[in-house]
Amino acid sequence: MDKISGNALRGHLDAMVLATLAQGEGHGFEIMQRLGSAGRGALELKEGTLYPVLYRLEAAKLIVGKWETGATERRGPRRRIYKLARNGRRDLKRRQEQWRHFTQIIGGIVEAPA
Amino acid sequence: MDNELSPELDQRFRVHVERIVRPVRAAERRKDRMREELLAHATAAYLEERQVRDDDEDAVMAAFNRLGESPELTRELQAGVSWVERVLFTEQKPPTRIKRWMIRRPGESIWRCAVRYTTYQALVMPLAAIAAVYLLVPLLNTNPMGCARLAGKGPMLLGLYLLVVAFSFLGPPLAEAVHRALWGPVKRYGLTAWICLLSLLSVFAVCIWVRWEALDRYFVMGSDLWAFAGVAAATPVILIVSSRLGYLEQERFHRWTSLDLAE
Repeated sequence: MDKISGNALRGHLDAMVLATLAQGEGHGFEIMQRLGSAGRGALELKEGTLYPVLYRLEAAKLIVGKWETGATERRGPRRRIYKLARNGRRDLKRRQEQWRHFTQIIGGIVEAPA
Repeated sequence: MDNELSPELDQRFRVHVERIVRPVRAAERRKDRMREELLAHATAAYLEERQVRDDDEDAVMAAFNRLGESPELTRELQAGVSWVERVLFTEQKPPTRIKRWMIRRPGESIWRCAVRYTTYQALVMPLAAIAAVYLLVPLLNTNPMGCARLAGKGPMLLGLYLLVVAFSFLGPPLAEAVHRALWGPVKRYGLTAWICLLSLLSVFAVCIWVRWEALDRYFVMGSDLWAFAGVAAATPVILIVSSRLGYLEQERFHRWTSLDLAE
């Protein structure tokens, strides 16, 4: 299957991250892993680009970030754990409805029998 | 999974992350967050790649590649910063010699650092004072008593200079003690309270002395006392805040901003 990359992906990244966080909280690398496995290897995304998205969503109060505490056994650089905020849940629902509407209309046109 | 890298590899990842983050025009606090998160991500990507590749160098390059091209990522990170912040914080330049001179070096004793810091202050202050006098002379000349009064206060100014030098010397060890007492593994609030009280009383005493000398040894009263009490009360707050900010600045300097990105 062809890879999905660049602008085709960029426009939907916010909704994808929100949907990923609806499954449970996670840090950046974990979110990327979830996206990768949900995309079944078809998503071609430079992983660093996830962070500007996370910062934007956090600034919009759609997600909440918190540095992980030192209570774990893990060593190495600190990670920030993100979870969906109440506003984010509402926003995700709205985006899902928009997406369904979009695919219904555009899909109907694109897939119309010749 | 052990997330700790060898010091050499850790340094390599830091340099790569710093290449992305340093050109971003944003507050240092925001940039620190970017640095830590990108470093954590790159480290995790490397550890994942190492499990499927035989060659360590291949794993490093794959992790860098997964993170993305530096200029593009810099642009995307910059796009998330408000224009106000962008205007306020200009591009981070490599650290200057003066900054390297002022910041405590890794493994250096606090007293050695205090001596270096005091030497710098002791040399810079007279130059600043001379410049100030040159600027003030035209103003003082409009008042016939101005220059004569200033010349008559030579011993007081010398005393004041020595006091500032002494405070410069005591500043770093006191800030270190306060930081350890408040943010170290063992909290020592009693020690902090003593240091704060002593700094408060010292500053209050210095204010009274300067005013006493400036008034040709008339007793200080009234609103001046309240003003001095206010200045003295602010001293512990300044000490605690500066100890924390100084520590964070020092940590940031050694971990990130002193990294040489040239290759």
